[in-house]
Amino acid sequence: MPAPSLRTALAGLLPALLVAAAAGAAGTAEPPAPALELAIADERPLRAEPVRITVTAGGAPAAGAVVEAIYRPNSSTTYREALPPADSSGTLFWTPRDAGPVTLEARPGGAGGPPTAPETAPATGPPATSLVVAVRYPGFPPSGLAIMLLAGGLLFGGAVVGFVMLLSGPRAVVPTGEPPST
Amino acid sequence: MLAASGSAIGLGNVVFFGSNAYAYGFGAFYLPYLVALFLVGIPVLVSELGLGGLTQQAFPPSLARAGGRWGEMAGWWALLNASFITMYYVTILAWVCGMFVGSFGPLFTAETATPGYAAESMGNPQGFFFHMISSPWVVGLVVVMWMLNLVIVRRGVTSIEPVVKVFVPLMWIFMIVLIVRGLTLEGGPQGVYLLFTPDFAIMGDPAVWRGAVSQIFFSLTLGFGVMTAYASYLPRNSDQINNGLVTACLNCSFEYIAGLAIFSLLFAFAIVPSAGTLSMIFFVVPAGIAAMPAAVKLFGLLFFLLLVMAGLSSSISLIEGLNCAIIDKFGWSRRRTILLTGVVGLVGSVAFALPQVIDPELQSTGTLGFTLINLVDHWAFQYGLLIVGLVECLMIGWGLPIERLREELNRNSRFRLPPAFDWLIKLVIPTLLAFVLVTSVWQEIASGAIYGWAPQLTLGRALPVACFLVWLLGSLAVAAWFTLRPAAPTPDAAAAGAPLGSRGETPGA
Repeated sequence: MPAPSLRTALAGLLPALLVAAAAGAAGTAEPPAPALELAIADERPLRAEPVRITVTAGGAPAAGAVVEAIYRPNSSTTYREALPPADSSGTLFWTPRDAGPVTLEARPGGAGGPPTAPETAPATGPPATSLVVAVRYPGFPPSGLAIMLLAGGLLFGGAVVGFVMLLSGPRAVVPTGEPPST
Repeated sequence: MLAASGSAIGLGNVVFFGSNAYAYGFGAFYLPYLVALFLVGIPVLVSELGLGGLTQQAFPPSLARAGGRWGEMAGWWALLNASFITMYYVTILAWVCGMFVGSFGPLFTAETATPGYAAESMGNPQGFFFHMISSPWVVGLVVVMWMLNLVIVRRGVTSIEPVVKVFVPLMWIFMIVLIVRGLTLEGGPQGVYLLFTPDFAIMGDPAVWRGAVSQIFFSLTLGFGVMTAYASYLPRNSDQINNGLVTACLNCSFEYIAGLAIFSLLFAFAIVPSAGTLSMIFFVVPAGIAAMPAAVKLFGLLFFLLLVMAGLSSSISLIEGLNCAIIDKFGWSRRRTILLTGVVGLVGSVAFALPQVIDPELQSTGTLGFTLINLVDHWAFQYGLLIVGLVECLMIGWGLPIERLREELNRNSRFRLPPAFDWLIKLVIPTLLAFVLVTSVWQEIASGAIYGWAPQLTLGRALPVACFLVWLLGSLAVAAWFTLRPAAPTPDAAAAGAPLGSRGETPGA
């Protein structure tokens, strides 16, 4: 029996490929899952005060969604905190640890899974959605006020003293031996 | 007072200060920064000024007086390290110029398509910024900025003074307007709390201290050889102690008010940098300007024009530091020296402006040029300036020696430096800098990968290694070559009292 020619083989293979491609296309034609949406009760939450976060997907609660708080994102001192998964109503509570800008990242439940340790939470895969919030201090911290006043006094005071000296009369030349050998 | 502040203010006070304060933890950064100013910055500044006044020469030959051949080589290495910074400084200046051009168009209003990035349409000003730095025309802006720099340097750095005297003082007024805008926005005052409230847990990280000391060095132009070159032009009996005090306090006062403006706006708009923190200022300030009740475009144009002028006045002094040293050593003409530094600097700045997008997700810094800036900045800015500071303190402290320099400084000043100043330069500052450097290097080693290692990105393996090697070995090799070359028989070093930036001029030129 003679071996089938290349043309015969391709003629048989082509319909099979078309069928397979159509099946593949049908397999991926499912509508994409709706994107997650993050909402926070207060976009400027207070440090150490719990705030409610709601995670939804297409308007429905995203139960089990995983949210991470990234403090001071994109800086050398950044760190992550994993929050408890959203409950059946897509709600969770977060108590911010530090003041400043924080990025909240939400992923569907199971995508990456909740990390075991908050400080070492891995960044697995792109986040489904994120939201930047600015966490407030409860009041003007006394240490901050002290440093602000100290710095302002030293810097502006130093400049003023320097200028007064420059603009004042001729300087008193103090003879102090020979100049350095150059 | 306003004119003097003009010479002290540049991109370092706005772009780099904002970037470093954000990168190193706001209040956790500011207290070390303040300590670094008074403990390290002002003493080193006074020493550099005193050295220039004493020797009437550029940085390498001045250090050679203290440390011989090794001193001269350290001086050349300092200038070459500074040249890397100058190259990307001019590139960032070109970005500022690009934002100025953008202020005529859609910068404060519409969204801009940002081709090449995962998010193709980012809101402005981020969208405009990333679109700009990934466009070929940013390279053209770099060329324009270098041409401007070279023309000014060729005409003498004093030729820009009349413009600076007008424009830079306006920066103070503009920043105060921005502070008022920021503080009157909801949440704005919280940004001020953030900037000044210390976080002692983060302050335990040596990297924070490294960032703070580096910022002081950069902001006061220490370790660049500029202050020594500048003082070498002044009469020998100039009051360098008071000059140093005024320069340092004015400079950091401006950073103080710039910090108030930047961080009140940052908090009010809840902005985080989309790429390296060096880009932060390009998002935060425009956001504040866009929130002005009226004349948004005018404010935007004015801000970026003022920033260009402030940056130009600083970049020419950075270029002049190297020119001065080359002329002193080799006796070259000013024209020839400018041509050499101009061509090499332009090539470097163009490399830092390469617009190819290598990180569409903006997980790092986006373009090839910005990635190069981020890598070189890490070594030249964060390590190079501190290494120079350490070496120069040791050489001035022990080799000159410092007692003689202090006597000379005291002779011409109303302030009198106490003997404790000697030990500050000899021991305290070197110990502090060595500690910060050693612990930082240890952290680098412990991290297990060279800075910027990102195997998931195009060139993410090669670039970090190449940048480190070029920075360290390249600059050391060129510094050694400069040192070993014979000096001109009659160097044009006796330029005391000559107009600033006039070294190497032939009579009548």
